[in-house]
Amino acid sequence: MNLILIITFIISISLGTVSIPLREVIISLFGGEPLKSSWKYIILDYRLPKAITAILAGGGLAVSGLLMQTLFRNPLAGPFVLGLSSGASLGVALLILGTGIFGISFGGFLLGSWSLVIASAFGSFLVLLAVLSVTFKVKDTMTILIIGLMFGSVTAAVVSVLSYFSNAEQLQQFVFWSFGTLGNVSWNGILILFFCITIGLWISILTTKSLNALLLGENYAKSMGVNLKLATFWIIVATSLLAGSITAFAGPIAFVGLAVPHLTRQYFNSSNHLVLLPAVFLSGAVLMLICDTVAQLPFIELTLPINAITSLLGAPVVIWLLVRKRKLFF
Amino acid sequence: MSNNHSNNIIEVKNVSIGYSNKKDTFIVSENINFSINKGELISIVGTNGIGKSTLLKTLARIQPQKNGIILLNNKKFNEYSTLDIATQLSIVLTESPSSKNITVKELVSLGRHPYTNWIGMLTEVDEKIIEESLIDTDTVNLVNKKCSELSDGQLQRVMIARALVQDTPIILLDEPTTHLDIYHRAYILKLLKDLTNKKKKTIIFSTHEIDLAIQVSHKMIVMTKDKTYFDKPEMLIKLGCFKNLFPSETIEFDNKLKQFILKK
Repeated sequence: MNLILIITFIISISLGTVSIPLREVIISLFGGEPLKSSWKYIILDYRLPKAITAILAGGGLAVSGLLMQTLFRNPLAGPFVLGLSSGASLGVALLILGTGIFGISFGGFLLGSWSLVIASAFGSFLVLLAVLSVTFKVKDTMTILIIGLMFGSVTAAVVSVLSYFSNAEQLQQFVFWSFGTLGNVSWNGILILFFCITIGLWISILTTKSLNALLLGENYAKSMGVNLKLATFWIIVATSLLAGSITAFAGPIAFVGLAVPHLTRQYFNSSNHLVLLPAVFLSGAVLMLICDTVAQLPFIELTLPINAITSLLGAPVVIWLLVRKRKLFF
Repeated sequence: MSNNHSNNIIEVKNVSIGYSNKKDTFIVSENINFSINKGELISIVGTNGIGKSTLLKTLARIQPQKNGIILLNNKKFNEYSTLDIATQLSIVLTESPSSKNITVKELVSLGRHPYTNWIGMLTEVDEKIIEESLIDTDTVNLVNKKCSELSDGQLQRVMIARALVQDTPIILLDEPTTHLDIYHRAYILKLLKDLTNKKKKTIIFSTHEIDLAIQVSHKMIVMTKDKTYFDKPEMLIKLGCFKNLFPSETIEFDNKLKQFILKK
């Protein structure tokens, strides 16, 4: 798995609008001087950060999907389905579009990376909290999913209202963000993203024992000594940190969070989160690198929105899983 | 040490059970009294909706009691931490595990939860207890199967194995014999009886199999609308508890045969 990650990592870096030989890629990566100095620039300042963002985003989203599927005991749960990404969108929309509408001028500082992260993480945190408070009232997981979708619609509606009143420039900024992109993250941004993902992953690791107990259901978990409220709280914090920070930088990316945990469970034939967490992270990272490579469309001067690619690849995978197994277990 | 008191493992005094939402509290049953000794097999019987599951969940501390006192090892129930309770009693519920993808080995191993370290690593001791429980419940050949592939009888045995792995003096089971054919019903009850005899477990289970329960239990808790009875099965028969359980124009308890007879 590690090997696959490294291979896809290098492939992803070597493919792009400007074709650079594999040998030169490796030379530049290890600090050497490639034949053309522009290649080094392209690789170190454009493709390498993009590939790292892909790894962080893919892995992080997949892990957040895994956490949510276990927490909600629902195979269809994921950051996108439960309205988490919409919540993040709303946060970002309020930030980008709202500043114009309400005539508040915070200057360039507010639109910096940190404020995007905070707005997006806060948005997803709020939606997750709302979904969860509903969860305590209705026990039926199908209802919760539908409510999650409804939350998504509501936030989408608010976003459209905001867009309606915004000026073209802000709108464009937001629309580009919502397409999802891995390429616009600076080294500074990567540092922030890395920081958020690392904390999110650490919290996830700390909750593995509770997550495993939750596989049997709430009552069983309780009877085995799990502090449900505390565990739920930390799982939510981890999920919103992961999904929120990724959505802030890379935009809403669909299907990775939903599909990867299922694929990984199939492949590793395990439900133990101690095995699944690293496996899901690596698989998510690999899948994202592949999607990113596809989005690059080598030799063509075009980069497709990453969100479209993950949906194009992810949706058939979920359908294939459903048809093959006839039932989606988690 | 041989007096009756030290042998007590659970004591229930004037307890009311029920559930509450924001506005109201619903009392399902009140004035429940019984005391259970170590190593006893106790069955809870009564009509649908009388509160058998609620009583079990109250004893498992999943649901809070509404009134009265519950003593566990002569110590107040509420003074135990969640983790302490987890080392004292384990449960087998009617709900199947939420994850259908989980393998039997993984499921059974989860029973070690209260004893493992922060990340849930299994030690050699843990592995040994798991192995033993699998043998005791005759589930060794199922370890690599997924829960979705098990029959109802197999799943019930696996869930009992998990409870055994939790290594608690008390095991509570909610209707462990539902959905099973008569052979598997008898098998499960015999298994429970064996566990009380050989492993000195205290087992409390609810059931609709009154006939079988009379044969197998040391003592029984009979829940009716007016009162909750607790005694040895023979005494309960003498008292006529089972006679009044169901409307006698359809089904009647025969004291001699110790079973229910369908009215012609």
